[in-house]
Amino acid sequence: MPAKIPQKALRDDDLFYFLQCATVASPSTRDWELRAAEEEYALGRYQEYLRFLEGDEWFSLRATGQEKTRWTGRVRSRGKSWAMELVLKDAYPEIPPACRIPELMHFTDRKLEDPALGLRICDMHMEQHYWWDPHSSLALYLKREVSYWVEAIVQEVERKGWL
Amino acid sequence: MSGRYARLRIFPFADFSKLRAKRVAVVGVGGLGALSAEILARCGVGSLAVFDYDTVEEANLNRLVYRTSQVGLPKVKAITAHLKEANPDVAVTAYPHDITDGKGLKALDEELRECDLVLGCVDTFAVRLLLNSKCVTARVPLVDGGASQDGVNGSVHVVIPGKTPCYRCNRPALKDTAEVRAVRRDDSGTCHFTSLPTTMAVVSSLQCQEALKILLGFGKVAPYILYHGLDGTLERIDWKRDPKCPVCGRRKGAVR
Repeated sequence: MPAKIPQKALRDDDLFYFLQCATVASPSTRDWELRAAEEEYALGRYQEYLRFLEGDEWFSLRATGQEKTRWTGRVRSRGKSWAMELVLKDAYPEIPPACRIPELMHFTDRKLEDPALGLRICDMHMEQHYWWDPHSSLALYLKREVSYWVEAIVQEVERKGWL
Repeated sequence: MSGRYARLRIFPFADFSKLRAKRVAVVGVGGLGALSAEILARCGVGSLAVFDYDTVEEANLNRLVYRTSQVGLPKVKAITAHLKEANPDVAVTAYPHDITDGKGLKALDEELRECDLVLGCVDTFAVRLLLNSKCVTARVPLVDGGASQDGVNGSVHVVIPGKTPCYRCNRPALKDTAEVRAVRRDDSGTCHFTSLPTTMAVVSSLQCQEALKILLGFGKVAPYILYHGLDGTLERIDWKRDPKCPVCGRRKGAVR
């Protein structure tokens, strides 16, 4: 008889448990190297999943330095693409990554001056990270926040004729 | 105690002179935090630590405290000058840093070892979650305040580690992506969320009232207060701790 599936696991997003990291370490601690490797591994698994199961690699991302605290790439939706930047601050993974998609953020409504990103930006309308915990990874953040946000904002902006 | 505190001395439920020995950290000194810091300073809190990396903008002037001549100054510098004017007895330590990174995070960790209470007056959930987690770990009470995006409603959430539910205990279900709105941003980068000085004053007063109850040990602390500005009502919610809370619950891996 198969093991009973916990109710929690039946929610779609929880099936992405493989995007979690085992090590809880922040960029300023000595275990960060291990955590950074787990982050890269999770990103790779997520991209594999998108390539082979969903057939839609909607983002590309790579670390800009050895510390792996700043990631740049592109995000794609509806035949268009935009530059994206993610920064893992010292409080990470207590807090989610700081994310910037400047061209799309122009259409959002929150002002936020972020010293780590170095610019006055408009924050994404995705500040309710209640699901986030220190085991959550960059890949899980892309899956559970950025993907929905990009889809929703691009749809709305197109509907309003601004793109 | 000087005549400055004469009306506080006759308060029948607590001894306000005890506030002289207290230290409070105010994280975020915008529309809400600046007012709360002023209230606590006027009540005679011995020392305040204020955190904010932003500068005073013209768009902040519709709320209280900041003046036109202070536009362009770091908020912590402007509020320090204001608090010194309001009550020279209070010692203010200013941190013009982001508490999620570098110097700001280190300063917050150090302050949590010193202070008796933290007032959360920030505008993002990520920072609220960080403050919640840090305060639960350090076992320092947190009184978080906030206003709704439409400017008329507000809330105050009190976290007394080990006693009241923390900020993560009663998280809502995943948000509805239909909430996402696309609007054309003002070129100056001004926030499009409205902010009423009246709502800010109500929320900061409620926040400080709860803070004083904790600091002086009088009355019953309300774990969560909702202010409905359109109806003119206040609602107290006595919710319970979540034993599976990843921050304050008992499950393996929880912060505490």
